[in-house]
Amino acid sequence: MNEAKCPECGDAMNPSAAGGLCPKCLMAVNMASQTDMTGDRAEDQGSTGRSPSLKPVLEPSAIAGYFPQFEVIQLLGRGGMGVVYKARQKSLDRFVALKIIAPEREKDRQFAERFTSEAKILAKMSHANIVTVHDFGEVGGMFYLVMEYVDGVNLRQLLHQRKLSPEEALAIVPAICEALEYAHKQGVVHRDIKPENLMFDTEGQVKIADFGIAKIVGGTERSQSSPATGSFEPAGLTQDARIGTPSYMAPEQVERPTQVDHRADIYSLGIVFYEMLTGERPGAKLQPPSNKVRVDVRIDEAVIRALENDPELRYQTAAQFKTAIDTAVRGETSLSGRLDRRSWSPAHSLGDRKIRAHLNRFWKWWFGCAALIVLATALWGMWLQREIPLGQGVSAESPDGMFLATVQTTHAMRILDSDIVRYRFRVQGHGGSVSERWAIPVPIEALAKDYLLMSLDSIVFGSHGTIIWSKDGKRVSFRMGEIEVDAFNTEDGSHSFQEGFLPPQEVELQANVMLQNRFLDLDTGQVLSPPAELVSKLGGGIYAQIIPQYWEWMNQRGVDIVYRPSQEGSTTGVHGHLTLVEGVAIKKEAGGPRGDSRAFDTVSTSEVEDSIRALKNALVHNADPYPNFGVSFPDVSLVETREGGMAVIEIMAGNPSPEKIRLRYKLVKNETRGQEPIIQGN
Amino acid sequence: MSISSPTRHPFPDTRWSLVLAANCDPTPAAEEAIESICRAYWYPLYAFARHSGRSPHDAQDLTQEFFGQLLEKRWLDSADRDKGRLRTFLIVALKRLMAKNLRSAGALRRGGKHTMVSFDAELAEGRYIKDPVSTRSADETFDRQWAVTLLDLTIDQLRDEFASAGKDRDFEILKDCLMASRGGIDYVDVAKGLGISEGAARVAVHRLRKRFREVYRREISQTVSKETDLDDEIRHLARALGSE
Repeated sequence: MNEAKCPECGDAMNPSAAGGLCPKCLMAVNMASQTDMTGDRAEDQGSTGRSPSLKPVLEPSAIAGYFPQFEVIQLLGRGGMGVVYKARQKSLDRFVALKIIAPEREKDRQFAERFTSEAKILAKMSHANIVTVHDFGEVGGMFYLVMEYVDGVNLRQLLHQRKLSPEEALAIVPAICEALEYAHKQGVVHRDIKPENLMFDTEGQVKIADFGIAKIVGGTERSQSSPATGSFEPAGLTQDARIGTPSYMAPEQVERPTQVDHRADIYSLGIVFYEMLTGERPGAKLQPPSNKVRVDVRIDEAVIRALENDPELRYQTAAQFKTAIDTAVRGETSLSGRLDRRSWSPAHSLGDRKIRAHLNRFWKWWFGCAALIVLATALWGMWLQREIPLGQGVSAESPDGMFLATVQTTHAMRILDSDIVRYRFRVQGHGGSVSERWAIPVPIEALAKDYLLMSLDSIVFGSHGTIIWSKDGKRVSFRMGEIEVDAFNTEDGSHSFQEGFLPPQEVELQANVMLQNRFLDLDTGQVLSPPAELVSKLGGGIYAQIIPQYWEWMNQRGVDIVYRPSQEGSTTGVHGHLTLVEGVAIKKEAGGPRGDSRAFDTVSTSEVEDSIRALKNALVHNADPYPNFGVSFPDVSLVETREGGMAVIEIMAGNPSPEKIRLRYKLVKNETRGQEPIIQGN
Repeated sequence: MSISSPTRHPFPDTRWSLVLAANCDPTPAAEEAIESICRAYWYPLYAFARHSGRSPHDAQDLTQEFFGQLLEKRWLDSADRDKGRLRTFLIVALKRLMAKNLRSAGALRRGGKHTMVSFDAELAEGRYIKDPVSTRSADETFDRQWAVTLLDLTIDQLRDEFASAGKDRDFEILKDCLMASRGGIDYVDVAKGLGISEGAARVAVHRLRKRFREVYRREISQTVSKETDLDDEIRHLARALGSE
């Protein structure tokens, strides 16, 4: 068979595919460039097309002949601006990066002049965080730059490998600011700041690559600047210059390319910074990074200001941007707890009446729980317990736009094996206040994902705050504030809580998707059998829930477990304002003074009375346990009655449709040991 | 206390996101999406099977069976963490099916209760044998054919657009310009072919390029479930084609 060959690149091709065109060239010419060039416009304007030809890349051997002074070793990559090779400079025996720009511009005199004048300026720049230009020239119609070879990775590659910690991002960006400030003062604007152009050498030093290349290729005059004062005039541009990478371009680069100045770099760096912090570029609606990761709100402020659409509203110099970050970093420790309450605070949206109504309902519910806890805690002492840290949490927005709190390096089996799991959350309150507390009672769904092996795809347990059922299905524990409560199923198996007050939630353990009911110890990889009691409790079947939408997202972040507000009973009041800080699995030690369960000694009538008194006091004084939320309870009332050995407490809450919560306690005498209390709402 | 959380959709529904969503709640739209996936993307899977050493006949059977199962929604059984992208999902699911078939003594189930998906087996093999012989692995072949398939869909769409404007011939003349570097286009020649001025030819080429990019991006976006994956996927496809 006579094999068809592409007239452009010479590769063999299949005439029945892609309309008989060469796929490689189609992609290379039209799509592969990440940096948009001016070519489209130029093409309309005449034959002096200003964009480079995006021919398929030449192999090192194909260009070696032009550069006898170098040993061209390998192709490092191509971008919109040209092709880069690793080469060894024979005379100095050093590695260099050889960048070939605009291969087909040999007859373009204007380009040649611009290239020479710009390259001279670039070669004069000397900064530890800028890739040095050693030399430049033209050979065989190819314009080239000889640059410092950075042995390392670029930020894009780094971000692909792992998520950066906020601390790392905060350490990297100021160095970039310094380099930008240096270049801007010399009148050099980068115009294409993006992760691909930020290199890290083997020592972790960040270096900006491709300074000024965008302008050489794009054909614009140098920005007029006044180095002495650091103030910059809009560049006097001679022609269309819409250059950059769309995702990182400042709005004016798109809309008013002739007015682009150094502040476009500040915008682009803002995007990069955002991406470093959150792993994502900002969406159409800019969400402060602290919505997604745990950073000081002043970092939010710095990012948001850098990302102002109007250059006038941005930081006017990279140095200002750096100062803002430095201040936030320094202040984070000393000003902890006194965080800014600026107007952009996401909590502001809580002003919405509907959400406020939800919040009230949420608090009504919460208050009922709190009342129960106050009493229950008085009834029971604390367990002897062992706490197992579950790792730090990171909050983020999920692909479907829901707020998620995630736990990294959490071990699903530990959760399953524990008696109680509790989480410390950071709560951004209604007034913008920030506080941290354990286990705010948010109905959440927890999805755990094994990403070590495929045997255990997810663990789903319906959960109400930190309510968790014991594996024998007989006990449910929950924790609020600093108070921990256990409750038990009554003997007939029904829940001892009123339905609706605490929806019956069950631990749903996820086996693998093949429904083989296997459990995996994520520490050892050992396959375990599910507890027999659990299997029987769940009717022999293990519930499988697959949330594929999250998988890749979770994998990207190395996240094992995702919490998201469940559709049912979501407390919108904390939607978007809850940051998971850490999780702790609590394993109760057997053989302690209170044993594993059911030891309800030392509960006296007087203790119950004290509790009721405290509860009444709180209600009478309309005390809001968390005043920062700005929610009051004007319609809460409490009625207490005693009949026989029982205390019955009715709490009325809510407006306009009050709901009644009825709690019934059996009072036991001090000497009565081992008898179960009855906690009942009805 | 059932308050549903506000949910927004940052990325428009695509074929793939519809299928993903159908996990819990099969909808007619999702079923249609699965069917259109079968129609659009069968060739890379066929090429993978062939490249993995299957005979044309076995490769046809396998592709049939695979899509049959996909239509019956049994694909969920082979769900995988890589379901964020259609490309990775399909290849992983196909590999699993191949492994499963291998285990069951290589007995490929043929026809039977499986829903039949029509695809032109002759066309598939006819195309496969014309593919340049390469030293690529089966996986690389799949990715490459995937990228080519998306290019096919794009070119077909562009051709249709020209045809519906009665300009079939123009497209055949202009399409070669899509892969020529900008300096390498003889606009005088193109203009002569189209019977228009040189300036108008430049504009026509420019418009076609622009439209090509739009359509190709849209085709790729159909295979990812969220916008943030799009650029990554484009880069991946460019690498698969050796264009980057």
